[in-house]
Amino acid sequence: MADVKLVNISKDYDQKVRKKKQPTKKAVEDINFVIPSGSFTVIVGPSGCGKSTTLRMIAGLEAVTEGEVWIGDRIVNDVKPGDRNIAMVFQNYALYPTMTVYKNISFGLENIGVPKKEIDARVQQVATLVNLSAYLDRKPHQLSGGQRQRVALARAIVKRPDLYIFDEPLSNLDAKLRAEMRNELINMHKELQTTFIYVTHDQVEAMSMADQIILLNEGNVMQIGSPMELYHRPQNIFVATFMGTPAMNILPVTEVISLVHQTVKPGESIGYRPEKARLSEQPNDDFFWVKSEIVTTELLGSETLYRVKNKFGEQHVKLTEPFISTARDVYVFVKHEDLYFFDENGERLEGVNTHEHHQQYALR
Amino acid sequence: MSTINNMPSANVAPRVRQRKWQQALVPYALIFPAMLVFGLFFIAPLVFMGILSFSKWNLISDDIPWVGFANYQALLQDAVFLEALTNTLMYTAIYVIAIVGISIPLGVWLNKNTLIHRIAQAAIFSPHVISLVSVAMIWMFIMDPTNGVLNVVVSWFGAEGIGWLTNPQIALYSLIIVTVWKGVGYYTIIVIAALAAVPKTLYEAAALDRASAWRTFTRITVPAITPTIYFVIIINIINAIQTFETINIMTQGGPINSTTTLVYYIYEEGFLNFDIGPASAAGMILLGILMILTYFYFRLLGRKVQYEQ
Repeated sequence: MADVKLVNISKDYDQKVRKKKQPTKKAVEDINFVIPSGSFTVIVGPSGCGKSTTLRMIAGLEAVTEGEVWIGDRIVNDVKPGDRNIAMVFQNYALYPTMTVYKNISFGLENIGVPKKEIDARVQQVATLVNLSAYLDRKPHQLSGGQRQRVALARAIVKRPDLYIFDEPLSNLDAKLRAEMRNELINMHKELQTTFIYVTHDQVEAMSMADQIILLNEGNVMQIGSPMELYHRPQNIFVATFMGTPAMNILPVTEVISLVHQTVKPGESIGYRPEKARLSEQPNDDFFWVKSEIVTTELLGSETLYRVKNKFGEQHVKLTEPFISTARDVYVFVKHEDLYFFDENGERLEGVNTHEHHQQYALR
Repeated sequence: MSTINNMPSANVAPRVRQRKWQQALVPYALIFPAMLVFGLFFIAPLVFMGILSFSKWNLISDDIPWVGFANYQALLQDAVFLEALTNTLMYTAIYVIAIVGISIPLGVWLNKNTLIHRIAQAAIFSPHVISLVSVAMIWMFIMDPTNGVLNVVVSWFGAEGIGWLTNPQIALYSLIIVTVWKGVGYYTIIVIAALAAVPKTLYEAAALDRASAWRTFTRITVPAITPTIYFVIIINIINAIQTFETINIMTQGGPINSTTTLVYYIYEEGFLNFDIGPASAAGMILLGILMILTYFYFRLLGRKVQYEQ
């Protein structure tokens, strides 16, 4: 069990090229974070944000350009992947195609000279854990996607590593299986009591599994915190719009708007989440309201998603009860404490909106 | 079809029948040209050769008497034929082992995309683009017993000059060196191509599994490229059995038949001695050997080799 710590980590894929030509963007730029021992940390971000690169540097599959990677009390920059006592589950599983399931699981143990009897015991135990006992003689290509996924997990678990690393492991599965595997991973984390580092581009996965999320964008850390913290207290527009579906509505402000608690200046933005807004046929001055018209309506069963248009542009409103109206004009209204404010650089204006119910989610 | 069915019944039957008949004919018509060429230049000569192997003919006379199995019997008692057979097997075995044994390690070593590796790849590939006749000529100079480069090098080490192509104990191996030199680069490139198709994550997984370089090679690399290895083996067996040009140019089967292979024996019997009967019989035996090898090739290919992610 060990903390993982990244200190001023940068990754530059074109280091040699850059010396001659004009500078281009680094894949990962000067990032710092700590992954506490035993946590389920999800590194999330859009594609190309450097999350996989970061993960691969922790695993030792990618050289570190600058900075230090700490696992426990040692710097592992120059430690071979195999000597870091970590296990990794790859996006395409990376199962050895010519080996049986049994061999796939036992390969890592054979390499370090674990006695045959112990290997057998451990393989059987892990196979039972992931429901693969009946498939030990099969080759990977004879298995379904979900079963292959389990083999990949088994191969990781059997090594009893200090650290599990997952690189988008669920992205090749269908939606139903993905939801099941999410639950299994959460349970697995509880049982194993070991550090999990999990990379995904899917914020739903991040929200549902993590106890710490590290949100990256363009090689920089945007925010680190618990899922609820990122959801309720995003530090900037990027975080606000990345976490949650549909994304937070951002209303660019072009003229001075005076609200109950503060004044919003041109260039700043107001944000509200679709699920926090309501629709009405009348304006209501107890709330922040905007005169709008409904553009489209999507009936999703448990909820209804409206797309509305007003002087700020188009936004989403998500209601649990359908809003039925014949009026041409409707009013979107939001509680003042559910509003977010961002400055002209997209940074959230702290202190403006520090309503109690936001704070109570700060630490889970 | 519904419109046809609605027509008066008297007209229906002949038309449908005609159309079906036409449909059945189309595929045959389409493959006819290819089959014609195949039949004319492959099947017919094969049958002809089969007949000739039971006959006596000198390529000119109108009289082709049937002699039954006499040609085959004569072959089995012909010391030169038996030597040709063992030479062919020796040649093939050593040649294939050398090609596979060199091209795989070389491919693994050169499977990197740096300048030096690209240059090395081009260098070992270059003999392949030279015609075999030129290669044979060049190596005759190199292997010349008195003025050849090889013997000059040998003399630096204080050893006596070697009769590369004149010593019956050595000549066959010299020919193998030449053909391996020409062929190995090509098969190295094929091995490199196969290696490039092995997913990189397998090696990363192996690194995390603490597999040694040797275990990574034997457990991951080799199994992953077995289809290519089998391909290289069988193609080279067939190539080796058919070797002719180098022998014809460099040794003409000598000295004292030490480099006479099956193909060269057939050539000698048929086109130097004009004994078409025994030559055809030897040809049938060669065909039989190749067919057996091909059968095993496809059986192995179907069963043992599989690579699927």
